[in-house]
Amino acid sequence: MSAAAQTDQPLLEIRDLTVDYRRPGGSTQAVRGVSFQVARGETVALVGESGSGKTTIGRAVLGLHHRNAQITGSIRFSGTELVGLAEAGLRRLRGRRIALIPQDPLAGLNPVHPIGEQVSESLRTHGLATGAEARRQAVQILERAGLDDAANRYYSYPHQLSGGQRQRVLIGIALAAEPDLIVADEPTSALDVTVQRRILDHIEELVTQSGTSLLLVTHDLGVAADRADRVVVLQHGQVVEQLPAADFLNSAEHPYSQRLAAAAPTIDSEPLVTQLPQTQENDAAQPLVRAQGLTKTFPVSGGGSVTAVDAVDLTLRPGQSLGVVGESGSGKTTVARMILGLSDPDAGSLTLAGLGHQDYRSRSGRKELRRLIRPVFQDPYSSLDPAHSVATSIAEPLRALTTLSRSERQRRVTELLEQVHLPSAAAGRKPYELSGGQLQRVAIARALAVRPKVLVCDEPVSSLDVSVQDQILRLLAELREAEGLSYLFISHDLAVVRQVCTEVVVMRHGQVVERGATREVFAAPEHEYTRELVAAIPGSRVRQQV
Amino acid sequence: MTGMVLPGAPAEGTVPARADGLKSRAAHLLAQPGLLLSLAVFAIVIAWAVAPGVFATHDPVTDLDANARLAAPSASHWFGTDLLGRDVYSRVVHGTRLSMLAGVIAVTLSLVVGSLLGMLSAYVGGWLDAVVMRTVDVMVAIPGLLLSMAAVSILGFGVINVAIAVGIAGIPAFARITRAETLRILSRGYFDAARTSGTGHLGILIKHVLPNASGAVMVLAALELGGAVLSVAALSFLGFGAVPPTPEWGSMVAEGRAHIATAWWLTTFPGAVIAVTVLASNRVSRGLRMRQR
Repeated sequence: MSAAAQTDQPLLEIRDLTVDYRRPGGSTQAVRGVSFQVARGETVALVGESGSGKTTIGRAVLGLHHRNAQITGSIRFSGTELVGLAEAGLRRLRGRRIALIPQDPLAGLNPVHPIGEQVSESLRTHGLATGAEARRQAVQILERAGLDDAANRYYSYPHQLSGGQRQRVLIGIALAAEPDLIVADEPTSALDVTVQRRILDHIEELVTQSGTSLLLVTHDLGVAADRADRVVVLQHGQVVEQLPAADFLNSAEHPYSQRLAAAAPTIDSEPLVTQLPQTQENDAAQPLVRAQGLTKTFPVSGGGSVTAVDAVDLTLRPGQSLGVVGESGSGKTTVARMILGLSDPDAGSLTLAGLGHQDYRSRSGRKELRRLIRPVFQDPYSSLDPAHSVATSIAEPLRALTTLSRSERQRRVTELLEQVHLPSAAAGRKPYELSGGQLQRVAIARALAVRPKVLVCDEPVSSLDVSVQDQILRLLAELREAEGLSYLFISHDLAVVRQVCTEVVVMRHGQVVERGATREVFAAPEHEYTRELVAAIPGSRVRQQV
Repeated sequence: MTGMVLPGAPAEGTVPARADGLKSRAAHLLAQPGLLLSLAVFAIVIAWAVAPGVFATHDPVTDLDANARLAAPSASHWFGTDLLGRDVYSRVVHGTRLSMLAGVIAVTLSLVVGSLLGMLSAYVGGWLDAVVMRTVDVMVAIPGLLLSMAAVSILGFGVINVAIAVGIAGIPAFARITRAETLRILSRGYFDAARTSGTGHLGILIKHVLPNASGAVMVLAALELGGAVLSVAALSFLGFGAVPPTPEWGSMVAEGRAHIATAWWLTTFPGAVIAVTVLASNRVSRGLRMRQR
């Protein structure tokens, strides 16, 4: 993806772009005076956190902005002014010369039409081919987009394909008319890391071959650094910095870009937790969690069953922070649910701090286990009851599991809010009044309330922006030392696991494929799948070049 | 070590100031004249029901004006008079209490029984769910009015029995919506969070399921109130309800039916009051739904 001749006019030139969302009783400025260019054959990444306006800009280029959006400024696409262009004019460009790869591969395809028809439809719409010829070309396009066995899949429906395959179909549709510019809006954020890497490799290859320009909208700084020629950093709807992608993670000049880059966990960010010294005392200590041959199967509709967790062994000793890593469907969440007593194992044994899994069945055993092992769930917007105040949510385990009086509970809630660095004024608030990061802090406070020994964190930061993610990870590391906690940390994100885990277990198809000390596993992965996972961590390419 | 606070990220150390709830709510109401009007209708109906003596111009039963039988609406008889010379307006006002009471009893019965069944059905699942929901399906298969008539035949005549019968016919709607709401809540993260916090089944139902399901259920209740008033009126019209001379909206329409050609006001005014009350109830229900987004 070399930069095109500098003398040429840029393919896309955005100048002083402002987008206002009008609402009853005022308007919100999502984009404020943004200017940047995309040269022919260049890949430009728009990065920023939620609310930075990156998606709004992508939509405005395609003329797909919301009806309430008022656009001023200029978007010139190879000599044509797009701002104020009539719908008919936009339609001639859209799909034909500017194409979109959307974020959600399921929502991007029409569920009632075969995928092949959806590709040939775009060929027919743009008058590029008709009838059998369109069908023949559609198969070729799907093959080029990397869909295996494209001829036989022509009549497949979207639900019959995996997420990665669907994204390939969408890439095929975007490339069908050989456009000059592709806008890819978070093209891989719904996909597993290894699939993500293959898709990004493929987009890159196709773009290079055809000399297409790519406007890559992404929140993933690693992806931006790896895949783009230039990075445009946005904050509050304004451009804070534009710089070559190679410099982004290491030598950004603007403080905001620097902080973003520092917050993004990559393959060599400094770990936040330290390994406990290997003393005999630690080794001899009774494990807090010990699973042996743990197995869980689920019945499948239409008969049969699927083994979600297949003879998994794992041990969490006091003071350890054990990462369980895997992609969707690897069984990692099912393991967590069994440890939390939300699901019963079908076979194998599960020892929890001297108690057994069967103790979840008795009232007193359950109480003891619920006090020792506490969860932090993925989505704080969902894990906190919208009808309850923050204080009520935090106090819930105190009411159910302790005999504290009302005033003692109140005191403990105040103490906990302080511990997770929230102001005491947060106690009376309802969840909708707080941000995602603040809510996750509330969820952590609720987990800590009864002074547990183990926190089971199931993807605790995956729904948060990078800077907030970094803050939460730091908080978890801090609390681990202050409270002497042990973590079972479930995540799909290896870079995150690398930061907060001392030990790691890699799962695939319900089985453990590799285990060991985090540093060793990352430095010298033994299993082929682990190697693939480590290589797929975004940001690793740039680092290797340095 | 609090971690750094980016200028772009919401600062973790501050919580947003509270919006002025009362003020914004008032502004919200003023922007919807239809809702405001409906609430006014409700206020009048409630006032009629609570203190009919204050609003009525005549006694509804004993005040027989021998000089003005079947008189058309006039300054002294706003809604006209009936065959015995009773003031129709006063009878409508005095009939409010019985009609509304019947409506409220009917909806309360449907709401309590239906919600309980729906909630338990979703929470327990398995055979209980199957039995309850199939029973509900059977109830839905029978027209509501027919079901109420069958129930009233068993219970005996009278407005309260009519209300109970209408309430029974309203159970399926509440059972279904509460079941759906409960299932939605059980799939949310805070259900797992409550279980792992040691909260028992009853605690989960009362503290988590009820408050979160109540929004949708209240919307339905407001909607059903209108429907129940209508059903009670219909059953009274058919002669299952109030016994003459007790004033009741549905019975009044029925009594006036014989004179519809000569004295239109006997049926029109009570009928219009029923219609306006039902419409207002529907509009309030829509307002409640909007407030939940």
